[in-house]
This record gives sequence, structure tokens and C-alpha cells, in this order.
Amino acid sequence: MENLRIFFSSTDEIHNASKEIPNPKIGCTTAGEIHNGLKAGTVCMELDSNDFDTEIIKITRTDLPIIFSEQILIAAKKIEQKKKNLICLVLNDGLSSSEERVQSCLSNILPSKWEIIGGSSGDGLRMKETYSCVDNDVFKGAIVLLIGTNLDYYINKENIYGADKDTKNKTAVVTKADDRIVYELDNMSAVKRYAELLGCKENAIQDHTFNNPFGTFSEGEVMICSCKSVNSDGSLELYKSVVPSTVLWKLNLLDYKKIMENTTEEILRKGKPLFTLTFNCILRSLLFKNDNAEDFVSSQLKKIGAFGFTCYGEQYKGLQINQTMITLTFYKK
Amino acid sequence: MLKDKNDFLKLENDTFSSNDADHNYDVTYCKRIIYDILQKNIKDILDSDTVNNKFILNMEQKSTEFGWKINELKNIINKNSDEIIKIFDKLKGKIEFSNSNVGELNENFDKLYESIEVANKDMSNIITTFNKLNDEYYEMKDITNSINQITKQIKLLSLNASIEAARAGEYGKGFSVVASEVKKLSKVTQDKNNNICESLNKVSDTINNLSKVIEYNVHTLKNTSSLIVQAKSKMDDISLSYEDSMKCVDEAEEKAYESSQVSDHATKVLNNLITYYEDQIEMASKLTQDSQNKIQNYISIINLIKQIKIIEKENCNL
Repeated sequence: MENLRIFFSSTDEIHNASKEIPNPKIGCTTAGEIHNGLKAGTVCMELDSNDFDTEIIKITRTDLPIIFSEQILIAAKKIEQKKKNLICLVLNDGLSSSEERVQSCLSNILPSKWEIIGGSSGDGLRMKETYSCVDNDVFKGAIVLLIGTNLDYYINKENIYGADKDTKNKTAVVTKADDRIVYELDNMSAVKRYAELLGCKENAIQDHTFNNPFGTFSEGEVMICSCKSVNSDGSLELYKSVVPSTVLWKLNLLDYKKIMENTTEEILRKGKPLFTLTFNCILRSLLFKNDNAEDFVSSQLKKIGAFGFTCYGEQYKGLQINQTMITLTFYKK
Repeated sequence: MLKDKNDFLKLENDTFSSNDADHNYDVTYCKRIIYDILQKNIKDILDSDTVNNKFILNMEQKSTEFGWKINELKNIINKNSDEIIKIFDKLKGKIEFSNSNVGELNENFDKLYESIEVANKDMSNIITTFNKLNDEYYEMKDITNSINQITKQIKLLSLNASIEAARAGEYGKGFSVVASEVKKLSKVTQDKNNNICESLNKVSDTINNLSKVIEYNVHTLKNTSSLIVQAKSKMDDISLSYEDSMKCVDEAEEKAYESSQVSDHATKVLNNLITYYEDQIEMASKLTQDSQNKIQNYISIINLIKQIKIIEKENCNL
């Protein structure tokens, strides 16, 4: 079996990359590439077939991922027979708001021994088109990469926001929503209630994107849910789906440098990384840029052998999340 | 929390378009797998709801039990308070009664003091009267001495008269001297008699006065005695009232002890209640967490239903 190449590039470069990088390969477009730090330009790496068994499923219809379930299950069984550590890596389509659909499909059909993580492709903030690539085929859609390995691995969700559980007026319950649009929070206009939570005027909500995203709790973990836009009808558009009864917490920005140092320390504590597949949210990258903290972030990423991209959405434990960095570190034998 | 089923399952605005018509898929397989997943998700939700409902029922049951316990405590505390209030009212009554008795006793003592003053004054009068009587006695004694003296003189005169009578014939003149002396003595005797009469009158008056003073004194003493009897009765009342008050205090003490026991019990119940509410908060937090965990099931179901609709739409001719 040949080594699989994984690459990430800009929308302008993906077609070239699809031709120039030898097959077999998978890749997607990004909002910024990561290789030993934040950088611009196509990045590529190989998965040694001695260590990794892989199966690729092209999800060409992110509106109907269920039709690939049989294919996914067959591929998964193949891997399961060979390796003990099972990871389902998804490169989602970043602009079709389909992450939840793909993720819920995967988390429902794959046995629980599979870890499901992923990142959504980007297009350098143009917000027009994102692409995925399998071998020479560049297409709109998602890629499911099933990885089996006997190498040790560690998945980390780095969250630089936290809920202050000791203060009042920190939560709002979704009372009317449709997919990613929230119409009402606590039976009030979503915009009005969010502004109340933030303690700001309605037209200043987006100034708080970097400091106070929403968060939900799943299995006791904070899952960030960012606000994409404030609509004139008083609704909010989020980067992930919610349903009525979802409790949204107002989160606060924490000391992210310290958190990143802790992440690095934790990853290195477990062994010597072979590499770390990294999916870092574009909103975090923008925050680091605003804070002139890119060098610091790059230095941390370099330490863990980060390889990945800046994305439009992150997936963790089968859930779509935002403003987070997901890392998958494989350790040397 | 769900206001309208349609809000939850609003599927009309599906943002996807099935632009890849080249995809052929096994509709039956897809439907079967969707139904399996739907069933699994619904089962997960129902299992979770079953556990949660047990939690909720348990919470409800415990809340009800605590409600009862608190109500029971409230009744005991109220009853105890009422009893303590009654005891204190009673005690207040006793103290008021004692106060009134003490007031009356004070008045009695004032009267007693006045009465003793009067008696004292009367005694002074009696002593004065006795002194006076004594003086009069000496006065009468003097008169009696004078009369004795006169009697002796009369005896002497009488002897002299006898002697002179013997000489009468010869010396008639001497007899007239004796007669003259006897006459003088007679006058003195008469005077002394008058004095005696006068003294006797005075003594009689003094005795009358003394009798009156003594009579008044007896009256005063009777009054004093009556006042003392009254004071004793008041003192008895006060003593009785004090005993009653002490009983009330004992009762109050007993009730206070009971209250303290009730209070201890209440503290225990409240501590249990606090622990219970801490558990409830934890439980509520678990329920919230669980409800949040189920959101993924709802999202899965919504997405699956959306996919069914797409399949139905694309395969309407099948």
C-alpha cells in the first residue's frame, strides 16, 4: 500500500496541488495553512503506510451523507480488522453548513470505538467556494478519512474561552430556532437577549465575537458556538445548529497564551510527537492577528509538530464546534 | 421548552440542493439505515428520559417529604410558641397581680406606719398622763401628810385642851387660846379637804383622760392589728403569686427546653434540606446536562428527517 498524502492549500492553489502532489492524496482548501507554525502556502505530508491504514470516502453530497453509510461501514470494518486505534478524520465542506449532518451521520453509523474529529475547509475569508480533493478530483463536498494505527495518539480540544458559572445572567435558553438561525432566546428577540447578556447595545454585538462567544455544554465539556451574523429581524445566525431547549452560555476569553502553553506541555508530556494534525478556527487566527500573537502561536505549534489548516469550523466527538483548535497527535514508537 | 413542534421540525427551508444527479443510491438501504438510526436516537432519548423521570419523581417525592417535615416542624414551633406566649401572659398576669399586691402592701405599710405613729403618740400621752397622775398622787400624799400633821396637832391640842380644861376654872383664858388653835386647825383641815377634793377631781379627770387615751390606743392597736393582718394576707398573696410565677418560669423553662429540642431537630431537618437542595442542584445540573446531551440526538433526528425528505423528493417516482 502506498503512503497517503494529505495536503492543504488555498482555493487558488488546489487545482495545481491536485496535479502536482502524487496520488494517493486527499486535501482541501483553507483559510490559512499550518506547518510548524502559521504560514501561507500549500502544505503536504505523508502518512506512512507501515503505521497507518487508511480508507477514503468522498462525501460528494453533504446534503445526503447517509447514502455513503454502507461505504463507510465497509471501509471501517476493513480498518477495524487491522489496527487497534481508530480515527475518523473529516474534511468538511466549510460553506454548505453541512457539518452537523455529516457528523451526526458518522457518529450514528460508526461504532463508538471510532474517534471522530475534523475541520471545515475554507477559502481565505472570501466566503464563496471551498473545495476538497481526493487524488486528482477536486470537488465540492467532504472527505471522510478513516485511519487505523497502532501508534499512540492524543486528541485535544483547546478551548480559550470559559463560562463563569458563579455570575448571574450568563445563560440564555434557545426558545425558537431553525438550524443555525436563532430567533428567540428566553422568549425574547435573540439579538436583544444576547445584547443583554453581553451588556452592550444591539449594534455592538459583533464587537464581542472575539471575547464572548456562546458556549454549550456537552458531557460536561464546553463546546463553543460562535455568532456569524446579527440579522435585521432580530435573529442571530450561528456557526452551528441549535434546537429549542439548548442552553447557551456567555463565554469569556481566558488567558489563551497560558492555555496554549498548557496544551503544548500536555501534548509533549505524553511522548514525542510524530506530527500533530491541527484544525484551528479562523476566528482564533483573527484574534491572534489582532493581538499580534501570531509568533507566539507559531512557536507553540512548532513545538508539537503541527500540520493542518485554519478552518471554518471544527468537529470534535461528532459535534460541530467553533472558535476552537482540535489537535490529533500521533507519537513516535 | 419546545414551543411548537413545527419550530423543531421545520424542514421546508432546506438549504441543500441535490445537484449531483449522477449519484445512484439504494433507497431501501438508505431508508432502513435512517430508520435504524432514528430508532436508536429515539431510544437514547427515551432511555435518558426514563432515567430523568425517575430523578424527577424522586425529587418530587423528596420535596413532598421535606414539605411535610417542614410543615410538621412549623406546627410544632407554632404550638410551642403559642404555649410559651400563653405562659408568659400568665406570668405577666402573676407579676401584675404581685405588683398590685405590693402596691397595696405599700399603702398598708404607710397606714401601719401612721397607725404606729398614732399609737406612739398615744403612748406618749399615756406616759404624760401617768406622770401627771403621779404628780397628783404626790400632791395628795403631801395633803395627806398635812392632814396627818394637823391630826397630830389636833391630838396635841386636844391634849392641851384637856390640860387647860383641867385648869378651866383658874385659867379660862388658856382654853380660849386652844380653841383658837383648834379653830385654825379646823380651817386648815377644811382647806386640805378642799385640796383633796380638788386633787381627787384632778385625778378623776386624769383617769378619765387616761381611759380615753387608752381606749383610743386600743382602737389604734386594733387598726394596726387589722393592717398587719391585711399586710400578711397580701404577703401571702404575693408569696402565692411568686410560687405561681416560679411555676410559670419552670413551665417556660420546660417549654424553652422543648423549643431548643425542636430547634435542634429543625436545624437537623434544615441541614438535611440544605444537603438535599445541594443534591437537587447537582441533580438539576445533571438533568440540564443530560438535556443538553440529548440535543445531539435531536439534531441527528432533524438531519435524518431532512435526508428522508430529500430521498423522498428525489425518488418520488419509485
